[in-house]
Amino acid sequence: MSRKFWILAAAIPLLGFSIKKTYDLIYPDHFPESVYDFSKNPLSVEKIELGRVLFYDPLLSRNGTISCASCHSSFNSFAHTDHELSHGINDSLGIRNAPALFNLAWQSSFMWDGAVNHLDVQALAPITDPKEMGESIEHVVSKLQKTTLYPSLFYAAFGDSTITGEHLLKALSQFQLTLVSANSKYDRVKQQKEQFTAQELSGYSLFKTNCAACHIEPLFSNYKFASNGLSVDTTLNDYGRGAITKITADSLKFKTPTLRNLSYTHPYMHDGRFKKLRQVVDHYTSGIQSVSGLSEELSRPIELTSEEKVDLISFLLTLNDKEFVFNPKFQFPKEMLLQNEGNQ
Amino acid sequence: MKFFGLFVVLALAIQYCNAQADTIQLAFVPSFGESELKKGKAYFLKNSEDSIRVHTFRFYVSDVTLLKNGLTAHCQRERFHLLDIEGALSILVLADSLLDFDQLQFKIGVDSLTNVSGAFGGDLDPTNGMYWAWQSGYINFKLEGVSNRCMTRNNQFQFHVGGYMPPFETLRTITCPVKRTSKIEVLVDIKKLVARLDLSTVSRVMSPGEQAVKLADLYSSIFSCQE
Repeated sequence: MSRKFWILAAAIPLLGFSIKKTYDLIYPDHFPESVYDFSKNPLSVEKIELGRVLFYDPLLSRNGTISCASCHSSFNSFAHTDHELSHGINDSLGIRNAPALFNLAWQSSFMWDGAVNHLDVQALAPITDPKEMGESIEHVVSKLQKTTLYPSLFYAAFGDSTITGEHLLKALSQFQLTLVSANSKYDRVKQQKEQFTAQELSGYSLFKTNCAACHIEPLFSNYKFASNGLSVDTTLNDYGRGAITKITADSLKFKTPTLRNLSYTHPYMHDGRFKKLRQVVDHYTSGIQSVSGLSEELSRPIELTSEEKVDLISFLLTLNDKEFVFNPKFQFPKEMLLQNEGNQ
Repeated sequence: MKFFGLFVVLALAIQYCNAQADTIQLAFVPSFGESELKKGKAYFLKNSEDSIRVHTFRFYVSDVTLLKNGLTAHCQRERFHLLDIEGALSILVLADSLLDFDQLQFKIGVDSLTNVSGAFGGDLDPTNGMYWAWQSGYINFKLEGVSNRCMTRNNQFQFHVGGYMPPFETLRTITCPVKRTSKIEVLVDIKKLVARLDLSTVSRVMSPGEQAVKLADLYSSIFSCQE
């Protein structure tokens, strides 16, 4: 009798969790361990789905016009293309080009200047920026609570239909954590499923010599801050990391972006000043300004012939992950957000 | 049946502990000199033309600890408390009724590890208006109001004190002697803060930095325990 009792007693605390469908983040063996602490926000199918609906819902902005996806479109690898500077509420222009969102579980700081220290609190920045969504988190919570859709989604996800800032932010994190891009040609080569062409192989070798110190494989970034010799745009006067740390040596430093999915994420650099990949490569060979605090890795000039530049770019294009960009699981949740279409 | 016996002993032990638990109320009393600090009320500085009104006053108190002879006698399990002139102003400490202590220790603000560990609920929920959005981190201490001394739009002052990264850390520890009673009052005298500031030059501090550190250094003069 006592044995049965203990088994039953041990099962009670598990009941609450067993209702949720857990979700495992899948990534290939050549990826390192992720840095996000999943024990504090364990993934579940319901939370991810809630996060996806929130990500695409313009209710998060003050006037209901801008969603996260406005500047982070799935078809652009969750970046903002065709605009040097991303635009938000009432067509306001910001000072930077919105970065692509993927492989976020491997990053410990966010935004071009690292102003945000954890994925869970990242969404607060665009929601409250007067040029992005122009809202307050308090008001978003109260708007969501008044809808017919969200209290039940929060209940399904967190077992509580009373919406809190914590749950809203954690759900947004969950969806974004699932945005793993790990099936480019490069990844398939690493898994011995495919082979590079001779040109790509030559480009890979040039990449390893000239770029890999900062754009470390397999994520193609060290996610650190560096000055890559871009002169300051005097119409923006954006000094990047320096404005956050208030350390002079950090002036003009920006986070090293990943090189994955470049075909989908143009224009390039924090202020989108380069439209074409070739311009980026040309910058590194002949455009570097000797600004103070220039990254040590760039103190020695990078020399590439015209042919080598073409080879390098052909390698960079093997980092495009078409499957990720067109994955319907990451797209607009029409079944949730358009369910009342025609009934209003 | 062996387990059952153990269970009974445990249950009795828990009940015994409960019977012996005692609540100590830690009451924070915002004041302006001798008067109680009330939202929107005018307090005069030098004369009737020279005044200050407080519209918002909120701060985090964390890691409440009771000490005896300099050693920890009890630490509060619930770590973070948001105190607000318009909301909660006291913290209940559940301690053994036999517990003896002669000092109270607490921190003003949220520690750096919590600052870098993502989103939290309850008193730490970012919807409480005590979290910076554009740059991650908690606002440890928020004081807003108006004074004719401020040369700003509508004579407003806004002090949002926070920052956890060196060299601009703003978490401060307050330790003060107390009597062993069931209610401890902690006075929070804003007049002492205002007396040490030149409101005509410092009226807006809203990011981590030197100014925030200077304000945090003034906590030790504004927080005091009533013996």
